[in-house]
Amino acid sequence: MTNLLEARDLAKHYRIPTSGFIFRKYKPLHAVDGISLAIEEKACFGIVGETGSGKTTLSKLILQLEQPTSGSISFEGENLSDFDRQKTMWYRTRVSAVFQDAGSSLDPRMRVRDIVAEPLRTHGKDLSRADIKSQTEKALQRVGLGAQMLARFPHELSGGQKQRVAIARALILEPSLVILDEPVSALDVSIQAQILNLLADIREASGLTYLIISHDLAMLYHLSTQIAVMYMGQIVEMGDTEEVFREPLHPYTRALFAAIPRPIPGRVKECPALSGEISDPLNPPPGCRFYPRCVIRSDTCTSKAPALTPAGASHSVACFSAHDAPRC
Amino acid sequence: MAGALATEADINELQCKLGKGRRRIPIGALILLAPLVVFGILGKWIAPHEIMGAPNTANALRPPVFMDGGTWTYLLGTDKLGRDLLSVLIVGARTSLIVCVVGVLFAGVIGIALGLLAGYFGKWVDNVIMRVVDIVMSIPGILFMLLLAAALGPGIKTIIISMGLLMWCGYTRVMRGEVLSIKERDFVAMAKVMGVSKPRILLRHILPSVGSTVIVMATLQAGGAMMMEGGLSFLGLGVQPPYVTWGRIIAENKSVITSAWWVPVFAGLLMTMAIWGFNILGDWLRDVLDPKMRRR
Amino acid sequence: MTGATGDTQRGNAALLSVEDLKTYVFTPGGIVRAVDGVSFSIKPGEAMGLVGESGCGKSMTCHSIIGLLPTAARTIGGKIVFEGEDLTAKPESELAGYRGKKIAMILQDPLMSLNPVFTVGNQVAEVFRLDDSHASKQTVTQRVVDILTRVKISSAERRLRNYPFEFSGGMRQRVVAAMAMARSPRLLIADEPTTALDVTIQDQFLRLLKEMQAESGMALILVTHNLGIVAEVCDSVAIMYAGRIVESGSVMRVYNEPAHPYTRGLMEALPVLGVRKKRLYQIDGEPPDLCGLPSGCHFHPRCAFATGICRREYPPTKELPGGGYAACWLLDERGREQ
Repeated sequence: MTNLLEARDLAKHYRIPTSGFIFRKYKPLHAVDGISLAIEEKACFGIVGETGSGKTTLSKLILQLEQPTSGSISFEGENLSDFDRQKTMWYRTRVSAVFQDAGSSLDPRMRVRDIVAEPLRTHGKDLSRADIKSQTEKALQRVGLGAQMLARFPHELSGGQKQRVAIARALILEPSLVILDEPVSALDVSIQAQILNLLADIREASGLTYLIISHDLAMLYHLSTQIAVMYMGQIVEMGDTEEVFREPLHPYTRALFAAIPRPIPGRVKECPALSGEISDPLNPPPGCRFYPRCVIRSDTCTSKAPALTPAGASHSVACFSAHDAPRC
Repeated sequence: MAGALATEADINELQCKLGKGRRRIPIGALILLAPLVVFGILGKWIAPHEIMGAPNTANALRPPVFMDGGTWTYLLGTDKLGRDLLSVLIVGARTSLIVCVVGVLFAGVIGIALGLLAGYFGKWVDNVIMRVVDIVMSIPGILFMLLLAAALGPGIKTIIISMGLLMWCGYTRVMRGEVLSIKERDFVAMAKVMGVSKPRILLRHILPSVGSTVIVMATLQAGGAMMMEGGLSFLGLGVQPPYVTWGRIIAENKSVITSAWWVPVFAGLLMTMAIWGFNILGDWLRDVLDPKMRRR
Repeated sequence: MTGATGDTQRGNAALLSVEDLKTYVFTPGGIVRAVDGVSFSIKPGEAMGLVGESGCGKSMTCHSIIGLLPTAARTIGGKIVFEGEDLTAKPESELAGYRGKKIAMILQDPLMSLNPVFTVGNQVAEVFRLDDSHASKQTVTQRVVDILTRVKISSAERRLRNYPFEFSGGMRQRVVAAMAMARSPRLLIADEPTTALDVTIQDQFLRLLKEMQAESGMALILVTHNLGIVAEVCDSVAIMYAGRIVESGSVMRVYNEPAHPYTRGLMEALPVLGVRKKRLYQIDGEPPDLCGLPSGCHFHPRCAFATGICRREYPPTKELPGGGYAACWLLDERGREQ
């Protein structure tokens, strides 16, 4: 399998003004700090992280909404920073996105038919009106919406319908990679299942590759083939979903698994809750960033930052004492 | 929650009270703006008397028909120069209308364009434009008008230009604020992800969303423009004879407000109605242009 | 023990007994039957989960209990019996005495619940002063520090001077919880308290809630759409759909033997960590429009088991052999005949 998308030592730093009125002082915010990953064709790659993990910044970098401070992203083997205008436009037809809140990712003043057809109009200059109409209708059919939706405005649709429109728009140009940022978090449980099944069906039928970013581990467990856990801008654990779930190695991953509420009454949580809060991103701890909240701290953790090292066939973890974390 | 249990009748009554919908047609605004628009368009053709020509002081300051000494010939009386007040008001409506509408349009086009650019491109473009706004807004309006009048000569063109140059700042500030907030919305990010070009994003996504605010502003500005024109006339910087506007009528006849009150009062009444009508129109437009208010 | 539908005060045990509560919202588009005949009861110290999707009426039920409804909404029927007194029959002046003191509420967004221009210390102190307006500044400050420490805010003394924006989301929610518990209410209503929080922070907060509930013996109504949270925090649960409770009972019973098709559907629609599901069970259709509810059982358009009578009449509430109640024709002889 060739790698569809690869990131190498990707980093994005923002300069945040911290003090001073005339002579401003700045501090760097390491939103993404040294991420390397590889997404294979037809894979479903999940990225899980909480607030401050950098997962949203990562998606913006891949979508070229932001430029990396250092490191590189390559798509089908070609480096994104080498792309000229034309190549960038081509890239936009190969990679599309679905964002969390369909309510705000759809222009409230446009009708559904124009929203879904917009990628066609932007890239397919020679398409006739009839062509556009038929392709739009097909795209809606694919996501389970009928032609009566075409003339509606977003506020006339339910949450699930809006998300389906967003998916139809993302698929209309037949991209190779779709980035889904919290695709179902804003939806009701009964509708979530519909959309997740739809996404799975589409992926199977079209051989698409997904990159799903979410805080919902249960959803990622269900959908993804590989998973990466992010904490404060770095990947702390990564591998095949089954393996990572069967044996989570990083203390943060374990704490995350333990913290997720499960609909199993009477389940006793043996571990205490993860203590404290995420550290100040402007003053990250030296060495391992998870150190202040970790249960298996040692002195090496403050002096050196652990690198992502292999710990299994397709499993890597960034921790000096990976196998010593208590299980919950 | 006091006295919770309610009868069927109470429910219906509550529904009526709490569930009032919005009017479809802004009747109030239409009535109030009717004189301005109707007189403005039809003007000379419906005025009962000729108002050009030499002043006829013998005829001056006749009272309106409903007072002692009034006649049906001069329905609302006459002004200082002996002209029929009703005719003057009718003809003056046109100039008032033109000054308002064109002044607002002129200010709007400049203001909206600059506001869009400042908000969307940010950084130095934003800085430069906003500094210009700050400077223009600090110039005392009257001084500005005096200078312009001195440079261009008094007259209708000068007024429109000066109003335009003074009023555009408000639009720019508002537009910039709106663009800044819309810019961060997901659907703008999605447009970038799709590869839509910057100009097209500005026109197709940002402008329509901020458009309604601007239209409302424009209607309110129209009212302000009318008042500004009145003020200018007071200072003698307004339109010059033979043109006449409602503001000018008030200004010319301010000295007789205690004796021949009908002249400034009727003109002032029409001006008030127009400004009020613009305000109501603005509110109604804002509701109508919001797609969320459309019923399914 | 279980909360139950249709269970009028069985003796003195119930702290809160809601009977056939109806709250309607009057909108230009029609009357929204947000709460359409809801009944349940809670014993002192019990934690009940109120579960449902958006629009089911769970929030409106809570707001009805505490008496803080939006302008267009009115409670037009039913009883809310708290410690033996019917709150619906009381005037607003008396109800104000209950709020905060006997029945407290915390909401979803802590940023909205706290006033941004006052320090946290100031806001918590204000709550204490409601009970004791003449207490000295030292006493009040000490109590504020105590309660903030109890909700596990470290260096509480230093943090008194901080403003809400200087706290993280999880800590803000803890401040809100502290303010709610400051006057030792008998009942705490928590409306989606952790929806805006990260998973690990949510875990911390829920454990804290459980601890405080055990310590003070207060009852808890936890409103959420998350079935996992309910399983971990609550003793009993009531599932709401389109303004009514469709199933209720102990958490054990409802989760292990769900009786109502909607409950079953919800359980099977969830992806569960560690359980490999090929495909998630899908409840087709959309949540109903509360202005135009379907006739008969509100769930029938989406129910895989709907029959003729389901479309005509709303099912009666039946007591279940395992405990609790459900409103479904499948449980009634008349429904089974079809």
